[in-house]
Amino acid sequence: MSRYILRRLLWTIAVVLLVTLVTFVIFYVLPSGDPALRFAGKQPTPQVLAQVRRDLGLNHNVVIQYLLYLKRLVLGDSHGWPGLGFSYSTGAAITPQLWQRAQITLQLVLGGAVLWMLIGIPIGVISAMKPRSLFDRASLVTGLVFISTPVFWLGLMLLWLFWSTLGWLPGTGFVAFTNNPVQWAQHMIMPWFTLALLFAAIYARIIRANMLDTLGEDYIRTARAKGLRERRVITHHALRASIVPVITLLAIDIGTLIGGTVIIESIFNLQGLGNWVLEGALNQDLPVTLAVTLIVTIAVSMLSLLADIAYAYLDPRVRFK
Amino acid sequence: MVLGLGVLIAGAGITLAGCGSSSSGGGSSSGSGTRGGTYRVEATDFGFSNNFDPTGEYTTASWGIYRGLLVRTLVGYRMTGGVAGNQLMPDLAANLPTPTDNNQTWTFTLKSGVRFAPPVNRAITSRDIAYAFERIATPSLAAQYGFYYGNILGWDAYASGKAKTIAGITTPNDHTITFRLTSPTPDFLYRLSLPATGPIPKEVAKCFPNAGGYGRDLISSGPYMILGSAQLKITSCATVRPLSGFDPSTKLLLVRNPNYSPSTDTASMRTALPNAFSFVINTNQTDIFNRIRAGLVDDSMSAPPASIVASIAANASQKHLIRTGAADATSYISMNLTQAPFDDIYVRKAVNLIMDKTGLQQAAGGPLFGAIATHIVPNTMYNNDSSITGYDPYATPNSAGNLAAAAAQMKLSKYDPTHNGTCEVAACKNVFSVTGNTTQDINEVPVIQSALAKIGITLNVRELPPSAMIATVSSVAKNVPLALSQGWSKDYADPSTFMTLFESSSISPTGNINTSLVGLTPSLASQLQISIPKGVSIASIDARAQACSATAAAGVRQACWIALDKNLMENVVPWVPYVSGNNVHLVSSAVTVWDYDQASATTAYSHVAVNPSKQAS
Amino acid sequence: MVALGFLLGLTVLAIGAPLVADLIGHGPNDLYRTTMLDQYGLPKGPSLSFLFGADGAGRDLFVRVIYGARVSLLVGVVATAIAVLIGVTLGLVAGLRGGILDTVLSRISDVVLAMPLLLFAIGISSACSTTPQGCVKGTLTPGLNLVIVVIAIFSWPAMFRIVRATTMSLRQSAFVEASRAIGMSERNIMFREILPNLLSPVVVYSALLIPQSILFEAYLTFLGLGIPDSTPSWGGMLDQASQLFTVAWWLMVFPGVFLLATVLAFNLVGDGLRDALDPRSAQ
Repeated sequence: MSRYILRRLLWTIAVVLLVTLVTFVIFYVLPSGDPALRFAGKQPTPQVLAQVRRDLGLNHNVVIQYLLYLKRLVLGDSHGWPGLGFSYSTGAAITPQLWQRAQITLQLVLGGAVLWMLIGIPIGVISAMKPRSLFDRASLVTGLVFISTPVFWLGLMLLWLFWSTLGWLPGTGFVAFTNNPVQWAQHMIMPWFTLALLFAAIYARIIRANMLDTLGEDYIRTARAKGLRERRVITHHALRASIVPVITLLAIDIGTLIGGTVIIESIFNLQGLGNWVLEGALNQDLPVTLAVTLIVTIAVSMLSLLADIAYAYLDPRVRFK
Repeated sequence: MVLGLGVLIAGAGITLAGCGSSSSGGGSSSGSGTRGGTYRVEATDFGFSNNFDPTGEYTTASWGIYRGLLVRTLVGYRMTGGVAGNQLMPDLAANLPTPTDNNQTWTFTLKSGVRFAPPVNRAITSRDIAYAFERIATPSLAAQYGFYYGNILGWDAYASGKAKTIAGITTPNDHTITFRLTSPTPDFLYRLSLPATGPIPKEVAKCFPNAGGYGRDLISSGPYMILGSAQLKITSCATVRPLSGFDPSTKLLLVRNPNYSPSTDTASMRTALPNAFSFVINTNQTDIFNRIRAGLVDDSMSAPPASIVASIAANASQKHLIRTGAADATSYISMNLTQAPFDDIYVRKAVNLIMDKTGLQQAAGGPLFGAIATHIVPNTMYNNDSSITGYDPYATPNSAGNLAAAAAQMKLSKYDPTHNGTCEVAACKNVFSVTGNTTQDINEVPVIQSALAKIGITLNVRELPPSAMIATVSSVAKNVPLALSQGWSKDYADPSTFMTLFESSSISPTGNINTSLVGLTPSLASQLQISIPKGVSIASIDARAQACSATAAAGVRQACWIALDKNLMENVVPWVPYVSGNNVHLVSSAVTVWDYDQASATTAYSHVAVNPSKQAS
Repeated sequence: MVALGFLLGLTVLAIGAPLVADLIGHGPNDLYRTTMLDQYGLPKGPSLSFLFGADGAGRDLFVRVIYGARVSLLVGVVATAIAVLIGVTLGLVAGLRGGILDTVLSRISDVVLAMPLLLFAIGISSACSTTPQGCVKGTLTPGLNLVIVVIAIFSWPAMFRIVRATTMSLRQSAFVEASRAIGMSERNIMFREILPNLLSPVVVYSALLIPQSILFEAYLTFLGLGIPDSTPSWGGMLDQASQLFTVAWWLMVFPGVFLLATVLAFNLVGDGLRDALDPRSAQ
């Protein structure tokens, strides 16, 4: 096991290096423009442009720039460790902002995850208990509708209905929990639902399928034969076995979503990582783009590793092999 | 600094632009304000170009804050709307000097009793102004408009480190400063109104050898100062920490400067009524305007979208909350004189005649956001002179384009071999065009496309994020034939700040602002590795622009620029100017006095007042 | 069945879009700014002559929604086809050859899956947009074909994994071993034994990849990085709607419903195919 974990960790480092390299190539080598132009004034003279390039570290050749980036990443820079540099737009250090924005994204993703599990699990279980019932069919179709709904459209529709038309909820934006818990929840509820409805549909499908598989297995039949009540069979035996793979899936989805809520964050104007990386990519704020890419890649890799380890420990069938 | 290049400088969030009406709104609020309260402003993004260090900061939004509140210069403005707001007034100088030596020597006497804000506290001397110029000349500080001062005697020697001081700036005593220039510069006073030239205390600024650093510890010479200034310890550079009231990604908080003495200032320049100012980042544009309507915020650094303006303008009791002022900016389509089919002047004239300017104005939000532009430099900058205000060489019914007139021009061009008034040759098809991807830019694309299609020109439009758009358009080697939705705004009210766009000296390989390549010579072209099509001769306005620049007598100078503007429109035709933008502001009902600062094209912060009892919190 | 009918109808409508436009008399890029925009440039809502109202530029939204089906269908089918081609080819090679080639290909697919798609799509689209030639010596120009390539680049790994895993298990299965034992060539094994057995997972997954590609295109265009405005696309209309939905609900509702219905129809067809081809899943 520990050798497996070590190998996976090494692979994670390799992936991180590769992804930063590709990011570097796309945003530094194939640039759609010169980031220095943005800080050289509206009538940039060659002297000022050259100075700004020096200030931004763009005067070296790209290979050196990449190596310098890795060096600062490992050893830290004048803003501390890890050395992610400073944002071109604000001149402020990346690292503290990264944590601040990660918190907002995490609140969105974790809140959404709780919500979709709360919706998805019961629907999946009930559907599996009575397959082909009216409830099962209705939930399958509803689920498919949500799987097919573009998230940005769902977000806009919610905003239009509950904010613009009915006025029940505040519009876009974010209020910190510590400032005002009620307003925090009011602002988060639409983003949470926008995120959760899609995943609730996917998870309900998966749990339904898993439950159906498990309910057909020998040990469940044995349990039933022993005369255990159906309720107990479901909660103690079938549900447990069906949820284990879902938990690992959850870890991977949460990892992916840390960088994947770009659209929800931009619609609801939550200043999380997704919004930041979008701004960074559009405005050629290269250090921001790189930092968020880096963090997201690490999060995805680490969470999928955790998922695999958890799977090995939680699922008796895997453990006994 | 509005559209186009301005978007880049202002950052993605701020749409300073807008484009607007000439008639409605504007002017100051009736009634006199009272002292006190906080004037609360929100912005989606400060968009600083140099982290608020005045030496390099090149955004009009920051200039408005400096001029009204933090940085006094030798020469300033009344800070009001319209032509009057572009008139120069002495600020730190006791009076406006008369130049000698053919506009090459300028001597100023400073007012006495003007002191720096805490913790510096001492009197401002001529040395502090000379030091500001030394900072502008220091290459590592990347002064973004340092080119305005390059003709001060000894400038290059100082910049290259060969001299310890700038020979052309002398300070015989604490209240006298003399500038000696190497060429006649009648608009030098205007250049001294730019905030980089305001006094800077060396004891603080010496701690910041790199661009942008001093912005975090800016020492005020105006009526307000950044919160936390009084607590700043300046005994050594090690103790100089960023001021607590300023964080470029969240807020800029200003309080009264206890060392400011109104007797050294005039009420026509600064009434300084609120006790404090807050500039806070709120990345949610819609939310800002909701908060203004709820009285939680008083003003915004970005223009409200047309959808919000429309709903407020429809309400008679709220209509007065919309304020506008001319941005002294022109929105235009730039045609590249070296690229087919725009290398033919008849095609360029046809494009001017076919363009639906009213449609473009509507795409920008309607007349409130800007008036139709008919020539290069906005009328306010010509003091609304009658010889130019009615001038429209390409007048069409309703400014919506005239097919017959456009076709008549097209028939004369080499791109209409059949003389049927439309261009059918390949050069007119799929013409590569670049524009931004802001909502307004994208709204303008179909208007332009459908107009040009009438004379047979079809476009291949690239909608790029603002910074990529600027980089593409300003890179000469990309040979972009048509740049849509460009914008330019003045640095100061002299037309030279527009005409520089057409001088051959402005052509550079990257960061090029002369996107039409007016004045391109064969030798310059080969240097830039681009080519001028055979049989095409490119006009130059260099000599005429230099002649106007050197003219000192105000009336003659203005007439010279007006003649050059008309010459550009009729004989060179590099642009289709279409809108003279307005800055549109939505203010809260707590705002009792509001004025527009024409010079900085933003709210006149020195002349606003609020009624705190009407402010929600 | 309903889903198939809808898709068929949509395809007919998409192909016949110019006829519809002619019938109504409004082209997809014709501007009606004097009649359909107010003094602030805000669009007016549905009426008899403008069934879905006008968009932000004063164009007929109904005509544009119909034209928008062309982009969605084209991107969905072509991007999926490319992704399937790459995924199946590489998956077969990796699955049959194994060894170092398999390791390299698998790792590449891992890295592509670990990449933040949207971000790279932004980088590539804007880098390819700044010259008339686009990038890769003119083969990639912005707009439709760039969007298709970007989607294909990020969609093949999932197909690759399925094909690789299936090929590997087939290679070791009893009937392939048997074929090998009776002296069938590797080439014949591939074409006679392995490919036919791959058909059903590939068909099922392709059907599910189409709606994903359609959504991906809508996301890209919604962020202003996909199809230019002159080519009507649902994502682009919804991008405009995001600015104007408080004053123009029709801009959001009509393109959105069409997009949702199309994606849903493809998903239903995909589900149906899976149930038909893979009886195990149809419990």
